[in-house]
Amino acid sequence: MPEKILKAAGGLVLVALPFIVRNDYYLHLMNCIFMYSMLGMGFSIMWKNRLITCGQAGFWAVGAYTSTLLVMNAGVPFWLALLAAGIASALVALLTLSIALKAGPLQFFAITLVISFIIMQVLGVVEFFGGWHGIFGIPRPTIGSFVFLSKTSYYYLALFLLSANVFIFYALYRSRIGRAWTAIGLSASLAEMQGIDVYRYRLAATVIGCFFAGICGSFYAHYQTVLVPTTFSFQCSIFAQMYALIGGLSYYIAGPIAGAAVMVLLPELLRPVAEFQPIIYGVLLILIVVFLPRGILSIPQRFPVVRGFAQIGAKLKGLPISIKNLRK
Amino acid sequence: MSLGLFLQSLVNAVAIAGMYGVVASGFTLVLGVMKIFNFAHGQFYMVGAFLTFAVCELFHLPYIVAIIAVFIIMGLLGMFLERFIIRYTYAGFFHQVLATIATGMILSQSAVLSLGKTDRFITPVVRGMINVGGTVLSYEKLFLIFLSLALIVGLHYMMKLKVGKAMRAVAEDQETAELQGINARWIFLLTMGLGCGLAGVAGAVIIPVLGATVPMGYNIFVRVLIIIIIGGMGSMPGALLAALLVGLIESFGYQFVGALNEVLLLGCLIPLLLLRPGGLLGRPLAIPE
Repeated sequence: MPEKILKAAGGLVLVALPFIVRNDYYLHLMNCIFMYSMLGMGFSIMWKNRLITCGQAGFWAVGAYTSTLLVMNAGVPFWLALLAAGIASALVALLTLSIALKAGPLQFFAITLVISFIIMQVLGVVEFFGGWHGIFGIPRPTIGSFVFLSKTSYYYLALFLLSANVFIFYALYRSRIGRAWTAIGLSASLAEMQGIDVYRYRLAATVIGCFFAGICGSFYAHYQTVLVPTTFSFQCSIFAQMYALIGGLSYYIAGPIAGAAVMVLLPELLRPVAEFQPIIYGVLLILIVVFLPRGILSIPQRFPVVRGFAQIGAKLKGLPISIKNLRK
Repeated sequence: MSLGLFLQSLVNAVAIAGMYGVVASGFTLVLGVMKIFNFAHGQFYMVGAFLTFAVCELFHLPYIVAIIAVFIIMGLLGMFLERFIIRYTYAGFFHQVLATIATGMILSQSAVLSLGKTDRFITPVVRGMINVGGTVLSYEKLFLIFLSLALIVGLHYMMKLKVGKAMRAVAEDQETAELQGINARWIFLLTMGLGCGLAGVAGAVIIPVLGATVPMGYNIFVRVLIIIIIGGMGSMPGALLAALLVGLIESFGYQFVGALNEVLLLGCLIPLLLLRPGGLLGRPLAIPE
């Protein structure tokens, strides 16, 4: 029970946060964390099937540009465009990655990178998409007469999208499909032997992950109101991987959120040495890969002292706290 | 298309194909033997070009010295990466890939910090041009073709030597190779050194023609990925064949679609994958679980 109470309390804090923190800048950081967690979770759902995507940025871009062009050129309302962005992104994934998946996981890994690079190139070169200098003045979302202007309103929009994403992924992971994904992740050949259609389940995970990347892209476009193709570079795909890795690759929902929080808040500390930032990221990545390959969420399980402290809460119920009990 | 334009495009195609061949051979060698994707490969190529600039323009040494120095320095850097980073990431394939990505980030930012974001050129090594049937071909491009051919032939001769045989044995089956008395760790070290050294030398070879820029490492990496998908993962003859194909498509495609020739490459890649999922000359290579 205490875990459920903790989760409910966390949710309440998140809902009440704009009333506690009045600073727009901190709310902007929170919005970034929500947005990037969605990207990281899209990576995670493929990683559950042991597929590595290097193309999150490309599908993010497809969503962002679809939604922008629909709203600006065709006058489609934002909420429809949001859905259309996800569907467009999922369709691109279905058309290209279904072929890549047939070739194998290694080919999938390489082709996602190639596709994401080509999407960026096309967005930059073709004038219809605004060229390298980008698109400006993207309209903000509206509900009736209410226009999303303040950071607070965007905060709730982002929170809504993220929680929808979390609930859908959680439900999927708990269902039969999720258990099949777990089996594929443990061993693809063994899963195939159990009668699981590995190709179909992997394709489903890919399409769902890209769908949410597209939705996230639509939110990004209408939040920033400016789109530049170079935002969606290779670096961004790598960051989506880093969110999942830093949080912990085996925590498919909490991992990307924790990782995104670290990766958004870290540059704030590194602001004085901005030009050394990629080097610091590189060193951090190497250190995590070598010394903490299971991410920061694995710290409680990994170090006995921390584990002891984490268990105090559980032990409070009925058991006397003694060193002997903590050691277990 | 006139004959002159055709000939010029053909020479261009062979020139870039040769260079792609050198870079992709190094990449596919590392992939085949060590079963890792070296994401820093493009960055090694970029740093090789910048090092050549430093040796030729800042220290005023001859070009041939620069090539040898770049091979040795990049090789040592690759060995360092293998010995001190990749060897300690035993958490799996993805973690090793991330370690190389991190190395690439560090390398490219170091290049930006030390030499700035400006493009660098060196004074031409060979001057003059030759007139063949109305087309003007510069000696520089022919020299580039000669150098990359020499590198490729050298690499294939090496694979016939004892070291090369050991590498191929480890690529085939590491455990069995170790039972035959081959020191697999030593072979890993050598392979990484050779692969990264080749990437650096390719950078040194290309700088007289195209100059050195920071994004070139990433641009060539995408080409290398396309090449190894077409040619087959871990197959060196496949990489050479695919490099030639990609060079031809890019050089002739440029006449028609201009800056969008990556889309053309993807358009050729997808039907090929449908027909031969494993690549032209490849066998399926599995990610170790």
